[in-house]
Amino acid sequence: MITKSAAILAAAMLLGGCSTSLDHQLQTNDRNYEVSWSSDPSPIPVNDFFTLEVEVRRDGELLTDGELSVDAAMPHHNHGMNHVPLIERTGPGRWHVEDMLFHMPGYWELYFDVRDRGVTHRAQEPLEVD
Amino acid sequence: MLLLWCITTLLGVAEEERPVVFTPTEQRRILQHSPVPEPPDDPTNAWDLDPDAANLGQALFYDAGFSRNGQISCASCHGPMIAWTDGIPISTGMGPGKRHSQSLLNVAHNRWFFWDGRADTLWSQAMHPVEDPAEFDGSRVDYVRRIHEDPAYREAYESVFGDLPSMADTERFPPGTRSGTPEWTAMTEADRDHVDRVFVNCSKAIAAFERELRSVDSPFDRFVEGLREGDREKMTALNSSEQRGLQLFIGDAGCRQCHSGPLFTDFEFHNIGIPTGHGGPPRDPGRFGGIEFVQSSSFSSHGEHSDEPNGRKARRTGSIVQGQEHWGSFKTPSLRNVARTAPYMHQGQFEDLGTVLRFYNTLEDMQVQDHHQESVLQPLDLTEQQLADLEAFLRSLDSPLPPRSLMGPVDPRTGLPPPRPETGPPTPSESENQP
Ligand code: HEC
Ligand code: HEC
Ligand SMILES: [Cu+2]
Repeated sequence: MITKSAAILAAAMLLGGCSTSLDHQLQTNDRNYEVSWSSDPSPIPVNDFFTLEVEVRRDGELLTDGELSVDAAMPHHNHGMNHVPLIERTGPGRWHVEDMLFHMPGYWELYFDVRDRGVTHRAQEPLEVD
Repeated sequence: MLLLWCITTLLGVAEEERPVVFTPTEQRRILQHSPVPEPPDDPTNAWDLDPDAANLGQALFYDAGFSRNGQISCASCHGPMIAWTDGIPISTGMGPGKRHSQSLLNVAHNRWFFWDGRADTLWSQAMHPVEDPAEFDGSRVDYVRRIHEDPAYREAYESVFGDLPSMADTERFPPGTRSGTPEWTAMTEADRDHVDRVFVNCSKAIAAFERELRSVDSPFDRFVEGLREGDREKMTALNSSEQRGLQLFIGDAGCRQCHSGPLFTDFEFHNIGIPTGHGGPPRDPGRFGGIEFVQSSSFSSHGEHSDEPNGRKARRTGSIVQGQEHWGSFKTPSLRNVARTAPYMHQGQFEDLGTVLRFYNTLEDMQVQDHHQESVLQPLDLTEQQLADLEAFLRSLDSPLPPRSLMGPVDPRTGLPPPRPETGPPTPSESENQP
């Protein structure tokens, strides 16, 4: 357990040059922003509502302004989620997301769209939900 | 494969008997399907768990007196002896309907009600049949008047919900008045509100009764218990054919993509392209229309009659976005007790499980809609033996029906069977044979 969280932390430092307690880290596709997230419950369950905590950083610093939207889809099935998630900003660069529901098992993509200074940057996470 | 076949044949072990070995992934998936938890509470119905409300609801459910000809009750299309369905493709009450009746077993687990999910609570669902010309063809004013005039109903109602003001004035409450008619609009707002309030309360009582319609203990559940505990004896609750069918269901046949969880449904909507009962392209908008209805109805979870109008449920109903992909999609049915609920699909298109499985196997005559439609199903190309295994597995999802005491009319005040009539057929609760 200790080694696992240490590894996660190390990965976080490498990637973002900063620390976060959230267990998934990725970058926007243009590599300008770092997005960290974790879900509750974790891992994401099949067909049960879950919540997300999300942090967005630029150059290691939490974003002071900017907006986040979150969406997800099963690209091979040609559909997304049935509900629009509720997104609440909880502080600089931090968001809480409710009403997420992956109603089918299989391959999902989770999308974080960071809108900052008039431009939207997407980070996407491939997920196998089973 | 061939080698295995030779060995088993030589050893005289028929295909039939060979034990099925489940991989860790398969085991994990199987465990997701059992046991069935308690149905979730419904915070939009404050009487959801009230046993007195459930007694009143049971009396209402089996009472044909609310229909225009006095002969149709909820049980006419949701008969207890056939898993609370009606056994025919398209239900008919006072007039011809459009869809197949749904089983009410384990109904309180649902997120949405009806094939198109146009009700988001069990209680608001129960209001629909009363004024539907295809069902009771009655009116809410007559309904509420009867509650008021019948001493047993009145006493039961008042003990659960409080005072029931008089409906005697037929000028204020014109007989036969349905919501949405000119007569209804001509009533004062306070009078309309009174009628709606009582009508809603009775529907909440029906929902409290329906919550008790559970049927969850099947051979499959004993098998899963065995798998969880490592008890081989319990695992024999499913024979090899049923176990192979299970393996297909959670594996190659892809059924668990939609028929997931302990109820074998995702509680959501898909268009699987079943050929229409009337021939030609589909006319029923399904979920597309259901979203419109549930979001605009004042009897949905966000409305004034809900006991939690600002809760999660209301928010989630509001957060669905209607899209082309919803056109012609229908709610995934639970597969528990599916052997009892023929015919199948929203128009009862398929008469037996064999026909259902042949459709999934070939997708013959599938109604493919526009490019917005989700694409999940592929022809399975299973062998006859595999189809038989899959069917055997589906049949193993059979549980005993709920207790007899829930199967017939009761006195709304006590929940006990009414005194036996002098003549007439026995009620199902009194008859001795169960299917
Ligand atoms: C004339 C036949 C008929 C009568 C009478 C009838 N129903 Fe139904 N019931 C149906 C049909 C058909 C459906 C599916 C309709 C649809 O999707 O539009 C249905 C659906 C339902 C559902 C939704 C189940 C689910 O899984 O979503 C419930 C609950 C229900 N009925 C309860 C009742 C109650 C309570 C009454 C009496 C107040 C009643 N029904 C009277 C035929 C009937
Ligand atoms: C894409 C989602 C999906 C998949 C995958 C799927 N089903 Fe279904 N199933 C549905 C829906 C939706 C319906 C109702 C369709 C309708 O009425 O139009 C249904 C209906 C059924 C019914 C009829 C039940 C009833 O009460 O009417 C059976 C039986 C069934 N499915 C079994 C299976 C089996 C076995 C498999 C795997 C071979 C399977 N399903 C795969 C979504 C799915
Ligand atoms: Cu999907």
